[in-house]
Amino acid sequence: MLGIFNKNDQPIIEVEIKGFGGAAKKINALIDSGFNGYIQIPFVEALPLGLILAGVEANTLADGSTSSHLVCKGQVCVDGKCIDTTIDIEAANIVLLGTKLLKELNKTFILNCAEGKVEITENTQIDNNQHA
Amino acid sequence: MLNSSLSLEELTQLGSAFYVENKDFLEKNFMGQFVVIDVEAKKYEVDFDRLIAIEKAKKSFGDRLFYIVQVGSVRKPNANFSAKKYAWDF
Repeated sequence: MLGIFNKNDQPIIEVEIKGFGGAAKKINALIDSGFNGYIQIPFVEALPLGLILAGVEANTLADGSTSSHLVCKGQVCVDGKCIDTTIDIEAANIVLLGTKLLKELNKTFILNCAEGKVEITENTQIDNNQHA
Repeated sequence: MLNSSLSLEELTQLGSAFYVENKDFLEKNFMGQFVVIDVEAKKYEVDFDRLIAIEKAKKSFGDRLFYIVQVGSVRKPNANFSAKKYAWDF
């Protein structure tokens, strides 16, 4: 599955988020290799989807301060593969795709800044190519 | 139907206090894992997978809101910093 670089040179890929009530929406997510979480979406995207609220998660940020955000349960689909997962709901108006979700989806993230290439593939495809 | 009368603010305060009280034990035994705390029962479930930890807690403590923390985790600074500007950040 191919993504794009946005005008700020950030890698963007389309994902689909589904609530358990059946509502679904395709949104563009910024792939953040420094975000070791699942997926983060803003309130404005979360509320119409009917995600199930699970609780509040506390974070200690790198500067030593703490913050909290809502955690919901929902389903995320990337490149045709869907999993039930937890979704962080933040006030910040940005969608971030983290490394834990890509790991659970068994995906490989390819980023070629020089050629402007963003791609997410099944991990096995890379292995097959390397051993071909 | 959620079985809790706590506000999100109360949930956060009680959860944070519980974590601080049990920090040494949790960090010694569950480093890197997600701890899902029922702040009213003062009990918790743990797992390396957040969804599994939540499901365990739901099974053990019922359908309620939980306080969640990943033991020993420091979140990388990213766009989340901007969220702190809002007065209604929990």
